[in-house]
Amino acid sequence: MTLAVRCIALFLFFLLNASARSEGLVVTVEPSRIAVSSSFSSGTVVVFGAVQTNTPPAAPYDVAVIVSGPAQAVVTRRKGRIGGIWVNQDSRTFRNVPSFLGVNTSRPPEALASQDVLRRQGIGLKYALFDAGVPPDGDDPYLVNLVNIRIQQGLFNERATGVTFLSQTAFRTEIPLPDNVPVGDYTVNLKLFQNGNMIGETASSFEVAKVGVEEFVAKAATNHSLFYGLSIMSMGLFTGWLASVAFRRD
Amino acid sequence: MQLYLPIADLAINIFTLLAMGLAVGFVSGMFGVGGGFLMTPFLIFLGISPGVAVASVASHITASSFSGALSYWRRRAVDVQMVLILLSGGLLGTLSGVWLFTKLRALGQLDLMIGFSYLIMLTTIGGLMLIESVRAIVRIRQKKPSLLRRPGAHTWVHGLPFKMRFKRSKIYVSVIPVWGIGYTIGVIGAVMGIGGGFVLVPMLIYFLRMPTVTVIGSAAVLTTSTMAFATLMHALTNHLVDAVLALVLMVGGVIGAQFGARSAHNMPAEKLRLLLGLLILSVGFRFGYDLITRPENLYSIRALGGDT
Repeated sequence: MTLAVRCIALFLFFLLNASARSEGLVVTVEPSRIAVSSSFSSGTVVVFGAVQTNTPPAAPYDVAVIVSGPAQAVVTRRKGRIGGIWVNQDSRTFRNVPSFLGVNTSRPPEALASQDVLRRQGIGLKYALFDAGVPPDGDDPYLVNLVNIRIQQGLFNERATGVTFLSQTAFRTEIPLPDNVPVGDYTVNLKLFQNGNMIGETASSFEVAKVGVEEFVAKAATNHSLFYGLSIMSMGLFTGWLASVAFRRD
Repeated sequence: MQLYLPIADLAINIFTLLAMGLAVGFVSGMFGVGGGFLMTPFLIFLGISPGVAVASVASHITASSFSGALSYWRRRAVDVQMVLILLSGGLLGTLSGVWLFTKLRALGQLDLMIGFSYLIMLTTIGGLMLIESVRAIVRIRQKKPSLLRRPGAHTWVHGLPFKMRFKRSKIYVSVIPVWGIGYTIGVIGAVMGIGGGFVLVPMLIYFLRMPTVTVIGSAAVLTTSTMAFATLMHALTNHLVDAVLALVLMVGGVIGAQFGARSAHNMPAEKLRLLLGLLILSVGFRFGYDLITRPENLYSIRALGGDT
């Protein structure tokens, strides 16, 4: 037996052993539905979780909570100067970009696991690489700027100490949702670490939905656009007529 | 109090929006223009995407120009025949404009085109107005009689074929320029989110020699029609008309317009034109400034929507 094969065998043994020891995780997400109404300005999702284990942990746990909104394709454009005017020139399209991404960890991501693991699990905005149709490159300016713009918009955020442990096994974290939060189904992925190894994971979900007038308007605009357009047109004419009658001077 | 706008997908203070509607309405009532050239840029500066701004302002202008159109109609200051021909060009222009808008949006050049068209159009019109009104003011200061419209004065426009007699306006002119003006207004209205009153009125006066009695009323009726049509087309093709935004702007706009119209009563016409010229020019310069200065961030992103 060569050394390489022996190493692989040893690695597989550890892998199996690790998964056999995999800790159970339980999680609740509150609320399960975020209602975007006319007074909506921001929201918060609270995630409670606990590690199911019979024995006290040998080493402290670390947790990463990743909240992602519905995936989209996003095009990043770069402006260049043509004849003294700034014009969009080159662009790149990224697929499967979450419309919202919140990454909360109990310690800075680098302290949780190796960069390889972080990249594979997509923990931390630096490691969340999207399908660009080319080999991922952490320094790609189009990707870096996409992430930065989303951070400015409040749609991507990362809090390195956002997860607090209430006891040795129970933890809690809050994910703020800004007013421009996209609607749709959100997934909450929890990943448990100990001694730099990932030892368990679980997932949950919640929904962001427009309600009331907002839901009605948004749905009408896309599903019944003729009716919607005609109504707004009439609304304009009616408002104009009302004003001309109300303020009539002759 | 924050108000969530369902299509723009963001929350904006309702009082900011109402105040903006009132202010723009005041200006529009004062100068007898739709005010779209102010409203659309304001919304863009507030963070609303240019697409939603242009599409929603179309419905706001429908309201403000309709209230004006009705009062001119009562005074029989509308040349229906003229409006119908302008409108046949205007509706086709609106269709072309909405088509162009959709294409530019897909190409990622919509913002550039909006900025560029605003720059060219506003600086040109603003500049011309400024020069003309300063000359008029100087003439009055020197106690010279103001230049009267000479009914017999003809331009190259009057040499075109397919002439038609417009009874209410008392002019005899080819339908080609009338149709062309309507088409142009339709296109710029749909692409730039303006009613185009401040372009339409000078065009009708200078090219067609239309008398002032019927020009403003006819322009208001045309603007109402093209903007109502643009609202419908934007709703059908791009789904970008925000009903909540539109309603707040409309309410502020029509109320503001009444106060504007009243305060304009005791101000001489050439001073009004001077002020309007300065206002238009400064908005134009603002767009020019944005085009030539290096943007803070060279990169911009746009979600292509839907799933991947």
